[in-house]
Amino acid sequence: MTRIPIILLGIFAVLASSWTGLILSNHLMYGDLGPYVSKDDNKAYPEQLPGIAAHGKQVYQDLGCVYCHTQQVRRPGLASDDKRGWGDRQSVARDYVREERVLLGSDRVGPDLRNIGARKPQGKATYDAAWHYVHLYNPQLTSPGSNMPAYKSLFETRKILGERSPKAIDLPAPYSAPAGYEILPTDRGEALVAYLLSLKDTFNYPEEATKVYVAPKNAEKGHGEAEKKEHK
Amino acid sequence: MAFETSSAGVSPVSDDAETRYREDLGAVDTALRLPLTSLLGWSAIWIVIAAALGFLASWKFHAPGLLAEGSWSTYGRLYPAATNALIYGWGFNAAVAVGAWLFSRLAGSAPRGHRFATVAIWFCNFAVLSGVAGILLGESSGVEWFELPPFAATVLLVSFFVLGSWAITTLRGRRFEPIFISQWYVIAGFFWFAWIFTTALIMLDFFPVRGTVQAIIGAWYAQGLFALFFGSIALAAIYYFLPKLSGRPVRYYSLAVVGFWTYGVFNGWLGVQRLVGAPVPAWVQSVGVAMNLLSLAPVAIIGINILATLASSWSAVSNSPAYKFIAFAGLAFVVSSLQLALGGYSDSSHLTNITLLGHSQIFLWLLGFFTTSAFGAIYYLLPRIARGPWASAALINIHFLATALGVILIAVGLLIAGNKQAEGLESAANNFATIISSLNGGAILRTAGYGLFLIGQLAFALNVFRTFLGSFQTLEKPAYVSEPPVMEVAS
Amino acid sequence: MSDLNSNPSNAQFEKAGASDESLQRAHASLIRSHAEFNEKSSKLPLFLLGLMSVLIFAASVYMVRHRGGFDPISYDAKFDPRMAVAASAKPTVNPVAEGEKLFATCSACHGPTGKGTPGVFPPLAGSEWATGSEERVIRILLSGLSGPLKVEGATYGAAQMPAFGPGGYGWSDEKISYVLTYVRQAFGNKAGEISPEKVAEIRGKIGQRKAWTEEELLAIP
Repeated sequence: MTRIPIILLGIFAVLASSWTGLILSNHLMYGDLGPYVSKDDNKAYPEQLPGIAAHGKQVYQDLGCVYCHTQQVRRPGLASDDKRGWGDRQSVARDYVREERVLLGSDRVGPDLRNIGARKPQGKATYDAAWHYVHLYNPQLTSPGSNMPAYKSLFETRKILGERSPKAIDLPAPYSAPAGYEILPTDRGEALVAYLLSLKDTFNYPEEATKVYVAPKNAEKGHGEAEKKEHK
Repeated sequence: MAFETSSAGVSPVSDDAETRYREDLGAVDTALRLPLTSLLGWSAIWIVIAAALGFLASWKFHAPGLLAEGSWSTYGRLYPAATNALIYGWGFNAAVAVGAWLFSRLAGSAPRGHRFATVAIWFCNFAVLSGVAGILLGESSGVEWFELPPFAATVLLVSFFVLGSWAITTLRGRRFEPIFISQWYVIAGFFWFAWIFTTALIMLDFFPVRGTVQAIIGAWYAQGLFALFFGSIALAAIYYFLPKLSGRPVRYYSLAVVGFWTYGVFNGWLGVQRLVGAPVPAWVQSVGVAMNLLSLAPVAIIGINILATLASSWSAVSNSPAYKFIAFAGLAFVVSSLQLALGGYSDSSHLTNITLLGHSQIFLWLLGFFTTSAFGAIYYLLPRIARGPWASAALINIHFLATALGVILIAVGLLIAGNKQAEGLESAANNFATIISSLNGGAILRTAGYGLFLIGQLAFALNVFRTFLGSFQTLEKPAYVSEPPVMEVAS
Repeated sequence: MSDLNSNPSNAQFEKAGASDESLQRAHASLIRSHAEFNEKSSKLPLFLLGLMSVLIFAASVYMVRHRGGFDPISYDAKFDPRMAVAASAKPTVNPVAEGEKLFATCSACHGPTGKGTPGVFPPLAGSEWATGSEERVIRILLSGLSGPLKVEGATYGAAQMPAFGPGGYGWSDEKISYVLTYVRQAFGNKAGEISPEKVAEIRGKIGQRKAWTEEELLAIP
């Protein structure tokens, strides 16, 4: 008990157990997971991000969106994610294989954003590019009561030269640009919105879809069928 | 058992050897003086920065319109800057200072190479300073609890290797075999930190692994940082100062070794319990929860050690700020560990993992347990390094009250907010406007807590600098040249 | 400075309650002698042993029941590979729901409510072509349609329908069957569903060919 080498060996073994059991094992088991090539259309899912969206991912990361928004959808039945329109199926590891930095998030102060690009319009929220620009410029305009900061640094106000730019955003009356001026997103703003619109995990990987709990058939056949329909 | 305060205590060692021992300890503190002055000075600066950034971030959380000009002042940048300043600024400096001092003290010998160590400390702190500034300017690495840009993180790691080697040189000339549990915790803490930090740096920053394996490494790293590094150093301080200040031994001390090993093993595994519901393999999530259940054993053992010792030694120590801080830290350890264990095992942990409830446990641990434990240790050791008493007792009192109250408000505020958030997220019928308005109350409480905490830290930093600057008087002999009492054990 | 040594411990200078050496010696002897366990509270180690056993048992039971088959791509802790293999090789799909998702492509021309554009894109709502013969509508989707088309008395022909089968978008039999089933049961249409096997049969018959014309299609029953 008093010998230093034995203590050091023990200290090493203590951390080696979790390093091997959690990190090494998982890295070996699914660290080389690749995209799935669909036979229907010969495309590899998840799809590669277009360049501007990849730039937008950097903007998302450096602005720290991850501290309020998660990007991990829970499976239907486990939580209310599907009822909120955040996704039809749960997020699986394969959805993240193309990302250099996986931003799962750990706090939902705002909605989950994993499928924001595929989200169906709900009332006044259309979730298209125009809606995102207004939301980023002043979140209170689209989501009153939100704690989200206003990212005015992603926009610039400039004088209208000749015609109004097609990229200019439309804001309601007290907030619109002064006469003769227009409000446009900067490159970073456009990139961020392009990234948000690219976030859609709509492809159903066949292998992952089968690896869910299925109620035993002999118990209640009706239940079993209903369960299967849920887990797509 | 009673202890003797007069110097006529029973001493089995001859007076000659005793005097040499006293002088050796003096030599230890002298050798440590340069590096520890730098570490403690930087610690004081960093805790103020961390408290200020934390206060600002917490305020921006529920009042985003404040200072709405640049992107540097948005919550998404202030919050990681605050946590990194707390962890890699204050936490790193304080842990190395307390750990190195405890280790050298208990070994009874001085480490060699204090100039190298000091250079490493200054390099490290400038790197972390530029790292935190980098986070505010958009250079964050994106990994939670590890947002330092890779260049800063690399410098920190290299400095840590230098500092670790410096601390280890104590072993060469040691007087005693490391039989006391604090030394085990310090060696372990330093070793474990080097490992988890290197893993995170390589597998997340330099050669990022693919997919959600990043999340697994991130969760393992976070728990390793909190429990295996900061927790180890804090426990080392608690195990040393409870008996040292009171003169009474640790109760049920023979259990402490079992507590140490189980603490180390289970904390390495239970980090992934924060990933329940995430897109990581189901067995990984379950392993985290199972290990979390098992971690009740070390929590029970260490908790018994701490609580029984507090109960037996309470009356022996009066008017000791160091003891108050250590006691608060011990209680916070028990509460925070139980919070983690019970929270991880709940049915809705897939929901509570992504609310502020997790933050409540983490900040109670970091601020209530580690930070206060380090303060307790610093209140004891700084006069011995600076060779002079603390400049002001009033500032010490302000520091204790403000820190204790502030931490309680932060933890309780986050607990309330997290509960409301979890309730709101459960049903799809609640839209986010209602969820946010329900959790803002707890968020405001947190801001109030941070405000108090900041005031306390300003008092502390002022006291630290006044003490160092006012201690130019050198004592002829180390201040503790009179023999401290001998600890007696009931037989 | 002697006054520091003679004063009792105060807030500005904490004094030790015991020397380091005696602290280490005292604790070393505690470990050797287990002195504290000779008192009345010697039940503590037994209690802790019991606690650890219970915890190990509970954790093991939890792991066995929530291991999700130790599968690296299973995210459901209750997943059991033996049951899943027996239960379904292919998850059952709802053709109308799948077809609704696929209809997004069609709505670009035929409109989101299947009304089309007069003179350009024929409607699908109430269309005799969509609700009529299976043979015809499957052929339209597989190889496309060019030239004028009469639908419900009106003529359309300004645009060509692209092929969704070989040589065109390359949709599978399942996808074509789902979208046709959806169209035949939406917008007020009430016609029978179309099976993937029928699509495969027709695909085999016609192979890859150029777009159909109205006369060719009317020749098929």
